[in-house]
Amino acid sequence: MNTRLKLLALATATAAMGLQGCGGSNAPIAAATPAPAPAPAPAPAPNPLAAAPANVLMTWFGITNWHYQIGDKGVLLDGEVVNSGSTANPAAVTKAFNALKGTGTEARSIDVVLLGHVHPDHSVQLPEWAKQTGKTVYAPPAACTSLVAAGVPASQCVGLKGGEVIKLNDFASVRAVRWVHSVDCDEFSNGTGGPETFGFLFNVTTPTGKVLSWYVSDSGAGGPDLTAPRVVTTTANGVRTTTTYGSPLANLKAAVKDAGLTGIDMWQGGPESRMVYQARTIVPEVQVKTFMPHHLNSRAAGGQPFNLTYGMHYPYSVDDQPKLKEFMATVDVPQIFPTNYFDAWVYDKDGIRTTPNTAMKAVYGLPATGAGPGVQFPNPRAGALECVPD
Amino acid sequence: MRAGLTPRGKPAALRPAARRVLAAALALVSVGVCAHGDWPPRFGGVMNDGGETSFELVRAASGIVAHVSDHGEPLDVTGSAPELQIRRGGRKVVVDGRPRGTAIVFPGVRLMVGDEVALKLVTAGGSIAFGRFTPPAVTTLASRSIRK
Repeated sequence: MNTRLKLLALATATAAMGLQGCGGSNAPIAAATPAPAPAPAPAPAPNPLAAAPANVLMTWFGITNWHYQIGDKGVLLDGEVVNSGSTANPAAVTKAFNALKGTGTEARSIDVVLLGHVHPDHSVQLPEWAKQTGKTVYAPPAACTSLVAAGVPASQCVGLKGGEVIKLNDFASVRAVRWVHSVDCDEFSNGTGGPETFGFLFNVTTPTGKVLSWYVSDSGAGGPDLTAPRVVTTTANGVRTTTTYGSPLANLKAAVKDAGLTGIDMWQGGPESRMVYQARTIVPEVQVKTFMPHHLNSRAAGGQPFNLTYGMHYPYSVDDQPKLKEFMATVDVPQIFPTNYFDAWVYDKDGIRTTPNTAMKAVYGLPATGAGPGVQFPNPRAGALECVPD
Repeated sequence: MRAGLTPRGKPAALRPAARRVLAAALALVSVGVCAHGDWPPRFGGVMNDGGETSFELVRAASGIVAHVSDHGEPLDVTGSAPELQIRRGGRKVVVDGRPRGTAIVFPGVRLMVGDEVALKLVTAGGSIAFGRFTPPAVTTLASRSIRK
């Protein structure tokens, strides 16, 4: 045996002894060849949700004015910051736009503009929002007509029919839902005699896989107002066309299903009319977990009209709708509501909670928390928000 | 100044002090003209209380005319079926109206102090709108009617 072979035999014996010693076993060694090097650990699969937004920053500024910051995408709803007059006020929109842009953690963007329906407490400022943001507007067709008349390019406005899916990014979408406008006692709405009205269903997937969902809508009512198909007659080039769409309830359920949801975490609706009548159907049908009334302070109270610098001139009180209060308590759905303009909430996998928005409030002279600076009056609609059969 | 301060025709002459009070009152009204559901009268009549559809009842030679609007915009009620419901002394009277563009004519109607009045409108498409008038407002209109 030459020297090389001797060394190999020694190394093999030594290795065998070492293996036996480590293993504490006298089992024969099957092979005396060196163990293969361990395969490198496979690279972790990329997390497809890594870039998903962790939360949504929600900001309310009167009536049904909302801003939703969903990661790097910002969505504006309505933006009626004046609520008087018949033409847009550019300076008022600029002030609100700059306030929303803000700085630091309070900074927002506007990438999409939504409009629920054409009425002066919702839509007068829309042309200015379109011009100043330059972003696409999704609105009832009548609003697009007004925008074009105001000099906004037709390509910047999408006239809604209902069922549209607005994809914000890979993780967030908005669905347009043909809805119902406010309906008072003894009234009935099937879509004729009022504005075309849309709600919007949002769904956002977070990095944990938890899907955030909320539906924002005008007031409306329940019963046949929710289940009757919507009838819309339009006139184009002198030709009248009547189209029948699905009922508000069917439209919402279709949107929920299309979004892959089984229910809605939060419903931002009302309370301009008969919300309990609507809630008795909506809450169980789409499994609402939290109710957030928002159509507030559009009407004058105590002679005080809507004014962002005045602060909310009447508060939301659950006692103004005793039937709704009782129903929500029965089904264990909490009511979360604003106390002043530019109140903000963070909504994430753990739920929704208020968050400071001091700088934005300061732009309008509002206190950091709570109502003010103006005095508040009773809700002028209190007592008329629920009907006997509701 | 609105002509409707009197039932029809030219406004009555007002003393300076009364004119100042009226001007102040109109200024107050104009502050909130676009607030949701509380639209001011445009023809000197009386408005329904709250509600989504606005009805302005105006005294006319032939009876009562209701001007219809939606958030300040005149609403075409052609093809609708309107009725005026009047409760007077425990009795309910229903008067059918005649649609005329954005107005409804209720011929021969005279309101009286204390009347409870509601206007029901069934649109051509089948929707139903209601306008309710509080007794003080109706009393005002009835008083004007009586003066005429």
